[in-house]
Amino acid sequence: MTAGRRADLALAAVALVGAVPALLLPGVPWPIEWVFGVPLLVALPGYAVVAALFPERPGSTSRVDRGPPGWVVRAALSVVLSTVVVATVGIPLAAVGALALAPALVGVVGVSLACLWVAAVRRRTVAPERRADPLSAASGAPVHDLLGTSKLGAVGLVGATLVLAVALSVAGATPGVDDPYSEVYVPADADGALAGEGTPTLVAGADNEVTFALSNHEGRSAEYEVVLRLERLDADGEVVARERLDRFETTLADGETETYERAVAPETTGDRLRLRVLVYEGDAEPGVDPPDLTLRQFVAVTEASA
Amino acid sequence: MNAPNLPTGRRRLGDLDVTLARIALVVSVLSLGLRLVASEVLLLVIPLATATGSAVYLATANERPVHAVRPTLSGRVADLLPALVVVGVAGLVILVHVVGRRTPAVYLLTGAIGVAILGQILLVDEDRVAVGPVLFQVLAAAVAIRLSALYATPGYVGMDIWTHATVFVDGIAREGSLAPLAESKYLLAPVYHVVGAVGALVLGGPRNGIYLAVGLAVTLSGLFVYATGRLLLPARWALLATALYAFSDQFVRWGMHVIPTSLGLAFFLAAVYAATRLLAADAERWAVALLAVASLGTVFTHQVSTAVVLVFLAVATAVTTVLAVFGTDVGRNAARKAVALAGVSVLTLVTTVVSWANAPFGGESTFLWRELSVVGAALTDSGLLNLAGEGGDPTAGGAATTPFTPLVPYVELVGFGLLLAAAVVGGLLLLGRDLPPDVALTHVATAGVLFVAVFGLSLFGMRALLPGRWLAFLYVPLALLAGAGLHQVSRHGSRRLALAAFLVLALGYPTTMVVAEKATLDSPAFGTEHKRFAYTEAELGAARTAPAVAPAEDGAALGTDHPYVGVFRRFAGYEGATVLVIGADGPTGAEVAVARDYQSTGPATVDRPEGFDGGTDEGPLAAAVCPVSWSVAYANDEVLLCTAPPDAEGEA
Repeated sequence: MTAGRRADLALAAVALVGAVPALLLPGVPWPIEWVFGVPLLVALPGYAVVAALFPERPGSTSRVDRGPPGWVVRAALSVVLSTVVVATVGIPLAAVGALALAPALVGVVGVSLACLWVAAVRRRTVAPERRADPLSAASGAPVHDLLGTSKLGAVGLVGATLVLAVALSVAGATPGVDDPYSEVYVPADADGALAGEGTPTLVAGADNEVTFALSNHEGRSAEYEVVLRLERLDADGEVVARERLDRFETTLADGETETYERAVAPETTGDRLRLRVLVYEGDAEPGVDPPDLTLRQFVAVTEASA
Repeated sequence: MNAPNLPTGRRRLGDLDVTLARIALVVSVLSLGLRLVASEVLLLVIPLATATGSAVYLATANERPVHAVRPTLSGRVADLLPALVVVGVAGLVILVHVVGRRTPAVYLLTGAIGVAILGQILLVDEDRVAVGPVLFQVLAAAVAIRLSALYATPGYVGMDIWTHATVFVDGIAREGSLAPLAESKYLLAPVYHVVGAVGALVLGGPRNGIYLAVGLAVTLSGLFVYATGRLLLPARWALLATALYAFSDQFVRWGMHVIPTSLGLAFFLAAVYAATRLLAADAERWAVALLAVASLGTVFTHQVSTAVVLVFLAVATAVTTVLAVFGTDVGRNAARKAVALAGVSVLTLVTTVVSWANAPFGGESTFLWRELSVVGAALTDSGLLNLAGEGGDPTAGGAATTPFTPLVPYVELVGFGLLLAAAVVGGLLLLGRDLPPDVALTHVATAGVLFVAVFGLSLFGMRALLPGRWLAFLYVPLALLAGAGLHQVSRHGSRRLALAAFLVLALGYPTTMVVAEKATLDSPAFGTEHKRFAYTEAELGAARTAPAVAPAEDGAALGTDHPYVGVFRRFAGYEGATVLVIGADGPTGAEVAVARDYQSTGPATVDRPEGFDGGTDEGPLAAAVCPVSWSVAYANDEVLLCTAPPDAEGEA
């Protein structure tokens, strides 16, 4: 038996052992983690089990229902049995409350290496001409013979596969389409005119606290202009009078949330007025453009007592 | 390309297959009358597909194969099609990445890829069908269709996955134990969640863990369709079965909504292969062991999938036992196969009963007793043509209907109809040919029993076993039988019939399957008809921030549309969140209402009060969800959290 006859097992072992530092050491780039991690989860453990179960190459007869299973069957088995191995290692660990990356990794890699060792031992017991040896079976022959296509078809398929690999790399390496948004809200633990149950009461001419939070998820630093406005409505809900209480600009970094506590001193009084927080993003102009975000709360404003 | 048993052309008029085809043709035509008493589109599609399949079979049930020249693509086209398909898959990956979601252009490209693959299988000269390259194309397309859409979609696609991913898988990964499953029926079926959790630890989060450790495995398990098909058919037709399954809406569905059902499906595919191999190759030990592992794997993964596997094992055992006792194949091997299947069946059944009897359910009962009572109640309530779905009569949002709207269900079911028609041809073929009868009968009987479980029981309103979940499992034998059916048409049909059948299948199947409702949960191709079971960043952001505005522990009654309510229940911690009931004056029974733009642009639904008669032209739903009289405590670019005015709180 030559070393080449076990090259598939050696490659699998290298990939399994290499997965340990790639996944345990801090600071490893995610593409490298994926290159080792994905096969570890969906291919290598099952391949090791299949290699241990079937040391012989697929049957050479034309009958697909006789002899050891073919390579396609072994590939399918590798996928499903990888799941079985991962579950077999993971469930006992989780049952005793010890499921974490290191023990799971050691368990899956350990079981897989043990199966590869069994596969190597079992292959030794099989005559060389019947021994499973997927890599040497694939080496030496022209690509189009291996693929079962014409030369033109083989060249086209190999080229197209390279294009697909590039496409996957580009998609993985570049950020996807942004779905940016901003938020404005009244924190549950806030005090002031926007908070509390019922209809908050403000005092005309005095400083009344208005608290709200603004959050930037635009994927970039963003400028906002905020206007606080008090509105009187008619019976149909139409605005018949408005008073600007406050106006300020602010800039937030991407992912930043800022809570604002503003003091407003309204002059308009009434039992049911509408207090609005109008947020304009970027170049939007208050009074010209519609606000991008709006909070509203119905309030009462009373005259200051003597 | 040799298959174990090819048709021999021994068929004679009067044989069982021909008799059955005639009966099926007559019954199918007569059953079209059911459409007069119920509006269910399937009552039209199923009889038409069955009648078409039966008629095609009768037209091809001649004594000998027809040696007509088959329609084929030119050699140069056949050489370049694989490369074109793979480049198309690369284009699909880039297009979805650039656009950020699946659009009509994406569906057009996806359908074209499917047409090119089926075209190769059906229309390339026999000598030019290369198994490896075709399988590579099928798998590459299947993986790209699912994962490109999943990674372009924020959060998760589907409803149940929000619980499985954010509560169970993430919980197990964080706590390192099964504690998050403690009160769940999955405590005794934790395979999916633990594999997902290990994936989360390895790949840095539950999303990657589930999509790559489970989702990728589920998609690649489609290889078992080819492996099983090769035990029944020549390679070309096994490839056809694989492609039909890979592009089916139900297989795409469970490759995108990756939950325990998905992994149960992968184990089922392995079990079907193992049982077929066991029957075809005289119960080799490894096939028996694989069948046991796959069956037990299902038991420890998902309950509905377990029910399907038990049905499949029961069918295979019954067929093999009956044939061993009464059939002509009464040798030692027949008995051995029957014993092996019976052994695995009993092992699986006993394990299932023990597992279910100890699986918690709702803190009061076990899963087994709960399920028995549900099935018992469903049997009591069932009745012929009780076709009403679950739930009440919700009102859809602001999506406008179009003149095309009534045709949508028919367009979506073209693929299913073609699959069923081809499977009818294949089923009749297997009954009439000299394949080992246990293999043939097992697949035909499995398809029949699963078909009755899905559609027959539903006809009587019996939906306690979630028949919708069984469809993807039913598609497995249907795809295999369809491969056999097209083989029959190829060998025994006239050139004109074969060309027509091939073209209709190659053009009609993938293009309609990829736009079907269940294959497009992330971004419905018919967006005015079907809900989007995926969310924008702004919609998810609202769910993340909502607890900071109206904490769930404060007990405020939160409501929103279906399906958005699922995110608040399963992800944001509002276990008591409900679908809003919208009356003439706005929401009733809710203190916090969540409005989103999609309520005015898509078919998101809310409920109406009992006896509500508000007409149909009421303006955008989002405006009704958050009336001007309500306060707004949260706003982002797409979502508002509105709170009831003081005078309405008493109603809550």
